[in-house]
This record gives sequence, structure tokens and C-alpha cells, in this order.
Amino acid sequence: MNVALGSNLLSTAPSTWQARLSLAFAKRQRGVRLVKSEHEGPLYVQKAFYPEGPDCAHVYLLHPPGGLVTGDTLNIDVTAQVNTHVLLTTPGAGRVYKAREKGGIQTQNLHITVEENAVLEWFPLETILFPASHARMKTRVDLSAEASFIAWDITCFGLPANDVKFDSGSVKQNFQIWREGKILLNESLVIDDDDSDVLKGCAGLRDLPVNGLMLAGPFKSDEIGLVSSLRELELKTDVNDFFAVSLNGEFLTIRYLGTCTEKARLLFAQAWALIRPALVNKESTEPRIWAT
Amino acid sequence: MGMATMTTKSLTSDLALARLLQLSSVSLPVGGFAFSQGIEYAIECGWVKNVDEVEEWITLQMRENIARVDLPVLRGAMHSTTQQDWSRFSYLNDLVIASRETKELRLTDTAMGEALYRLLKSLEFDIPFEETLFKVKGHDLSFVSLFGFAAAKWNIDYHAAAMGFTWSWLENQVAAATKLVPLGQTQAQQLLTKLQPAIGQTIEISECTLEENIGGGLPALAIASALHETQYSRLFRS
Repeated sequence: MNVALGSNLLSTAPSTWQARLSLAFAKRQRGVRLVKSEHEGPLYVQKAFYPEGPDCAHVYLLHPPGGLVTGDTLNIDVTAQVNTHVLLTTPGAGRVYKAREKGGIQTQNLHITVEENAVLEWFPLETILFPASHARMKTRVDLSAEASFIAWDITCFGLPANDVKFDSGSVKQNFQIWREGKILLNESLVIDDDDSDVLKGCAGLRDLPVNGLMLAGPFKSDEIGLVSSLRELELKTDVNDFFAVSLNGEFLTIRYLGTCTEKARLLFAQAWALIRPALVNKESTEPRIWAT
Repeated sequence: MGMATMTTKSLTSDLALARLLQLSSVSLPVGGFAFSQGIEYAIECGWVKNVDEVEEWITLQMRENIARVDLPVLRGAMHSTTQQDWSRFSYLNDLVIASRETKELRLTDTAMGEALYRLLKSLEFDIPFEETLFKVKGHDLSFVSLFGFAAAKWNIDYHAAAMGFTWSWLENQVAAATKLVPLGQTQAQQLLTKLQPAIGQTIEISECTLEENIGGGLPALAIASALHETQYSRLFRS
């Protein structure tokens, strides 16, 4: 199923990777199948898992280098074709290492297409931004009229467990959701070179290392009181952390700002357990790899 | 480049200046005074306690939201009005609304947008983008794109329009903080005076922001705004 394109892995400079992965899932008689898996460079998937039965494929994105250095680019393209349900996750945290030289950037572009009556869930482990890194992370999701999408994105600034702060470097993150050519959400975070105002600011990251965003929808209305059920998770949030929920247009926008990536992921997984039955009429089934 | 533009390409006429003042006035009936955009919660929970913290909060909001989202959209909306490019106008209208991080921040923009739309109709503006924008029923209108439309129609140049837009936003934010912290009237005027130089920087950032890079965010502000939705006792709608 995996097809490596070309014998030479593309590389524009010594030890930099221009990696690309293109996946498509289709509904077949026996269930949801991975029908396209093309890759260049060290970024690929192995076979899909079916812990929920054949109608929902769980897939792990593997990136053996484990992180991005200056000049690296990851381009990921995923299509969930009509009537499919796909859950994507990663087995390890993504890392963006200290840039080799000033001006060098590290790029990840993710493009997700969700066709009619399809569901796509994107639950990567956290991205760790090392000091003096320059990450450019762009995600664009294109939905059909009747498509559902749930995702989270957890960013760790520096290495809080080792008391290493993200005290230099820059970040540009952008997450867009479109439906039938209309933009529905445009979430961004911009930290300019060596600028601490957003990192430390009272309205910014408040000197907290972990910023998490979870998005789920579309919801035409909140008939079942999902927002207030989700808000009960605020009570489970540590005193030094913040957690907030808003139904922003048709998308639930859930935010975590705090001290620990694991806590962020646990809160989001609990939110997922409430959202999934309401949005796609299925109980949440955690990918097996999360238990390891 | 910013300041040069201001001096060489100043307001085209006294009439345009008068109209800019009208559009930027706190008496423009769009209800700007009703929205705190998260600062009510920030004050309630003790994140913002005094005039210095109000200044820090507003300065960052101006730099990350007004400079990177509102003003670049304002500029694009003015340009597409001049070009009569209503599909681009409609995209920019959707983009600015999509950039709002919570239900209440979205409401702030669309409630004021709806009010400005009604006002422009009553001022006998011909609104040629109605057809493009209202193909979808209940399509939301942003205050920013409509402000840009009116400014372009009234021959106000971008720099002046951006100045007026940012000023009226700033006055509303300071007025909200004045009620909530609370601050004295003189303190509020001192704060406005201190914040004025940041308007120029805000416009400069907006001029360097390409249309494909429009977007900015402040995590704690977004959290404050979301938590404001359930704040027990509140004066403001956002």
C-alpha cells in the first residue's frame, strides 16, 4: 500500500527533508480502506487499524526523524472520501528543533479534505517548540456540505519539564476550516522573532508553556446542551490552568492554556467523549497507541 | 512608509474628513459601547486590576487583533469597493468573521455590522454587494467590511480610515475599562493619550500584512471572552 516515489529521497540541502505524504480513504464493501498512500521522505503510515470495526479506520502518522530542523518541510494531504470515517493520530510528539541559522524556518503544511457524509478526526500528540526554532504550521480543512470534523492541536513552548523556556525564536500557526468554498474559521497565533509580548502578556500566553485548541463541528445549534456539559470540564482543570468552551459559529472552540501537555490531552479526550456521540453518533474509542 | 503616506496623501477634502469623524464617532448608532471584548471578564477575575494593566491588555489586543486582522481586512474591503470586486469583498467579510475566536467576539462584529448596514441604508447608500453576500440566507455582516465600504464610498483614504477605525475601537475599550476597573475620567484621558502613539504602529503592521497572512490571536483573551459567556453579573454583551 505504501508507495515510495523515486529512489532518491528529495533533499535540497545537507540533511534537510522535504517530506510529503498523500493519503486517501474510500468506502468499500468491507469497510473504510486506505486506497492511496504516497510518500516522499521519512513520513508515512503503516496499515490502518480497526478497533471500532471496519467502518472507521484508525491510522498512525509516522515520522521517524521525530522533529524538524532548519529547512525541513512536511506536506501532508489527507482525503476522507464519501461515507468514510477516519481517525488520524501520531505515536510521538512532534518536535521543532533550534534553527541552525537566523532566518531558517521549519514548515508543516496539512491539507485535509472531508467529502460528503464523511468524518475525519485529527488528534496528533503535542508539538514541542524548542527555543530558537522557527515553526510555520499551516492547516487547511475543506469540508463538503455534510461532513464532520474534530481535531485538536497542542503546542508546547520550550521544555517545561526541564525548565527550558521558549525565550527566542518565532512561530506562525494558522488553522482554517472551509466549507464549500466559504471560510468558517481562521485561527492564528503569531510570535515574531524574539518577541516576548505575546508569550508573557496578560492577554497572550501569560508565561504558560502549553497552548491547546480543539475544534469540532459543524453544529447547527446546541439543542442538547453540549456546551454546558463541556463547561463542567472547567471544574476538572487545575488551578494554574485555564479551560474554556465556546460555540463559535458552527464550530465548538475549546481552549486550554496551562502547564502540562498531558493535562491538555486528557481534558480534550474527555471533551471528545462528550462531542463524538453528539456529532457523529458514536462513542469515543481511544486509539490503542494512546494507552502505551 | 506609514507616516509619509499620511502627510503626502492626506484627506482628499474637508467633506471626507467630516465623514470620517462621523463614521468614527462614539455617537455612531452601532452599539460599540455595549461590548468589552473580553476585558470585563479579565477585570472580574483579577487579570487586569489597574490602569497599567489595562494599557498592556489593550496594546497587545491592538497589535495582534486590530493590526493583523481588522485593519488588513479594512484595507482589502476599501480596495475591493473601489474595484467593485464584490466576490473579494464577500470573502474578506467572511474571513474577518471567521477570525473571531469566540461566539461573543463574533457577535461584537456582526451585531455592529448589522447596525451599520441598517444605518448605511437609511443614509441612502446603494449597497451593490447585497446580491453576492446575501445569496446565503442569514449571511453575517462584519462591522469592519462595512466600515471599509463606507470609507471607500466617502473617498476617505486608507490611512485616515484606519486611524478613525482604530480610534473608535480604542475609545470603546477605554470606556469599558473606565466603567469596570474603575478609572477616573482624567485617568481615562491620560490612558488614551498614552495609547495614541501605538495607533501609528498598528497601521504600519497592517500595511505589512499580506492578505493570505491575515490572522492573529491571543489565547488568554479568547479564554476570557469564552468565560464571559457565563459570567454571573455583567454589564457588557462581550
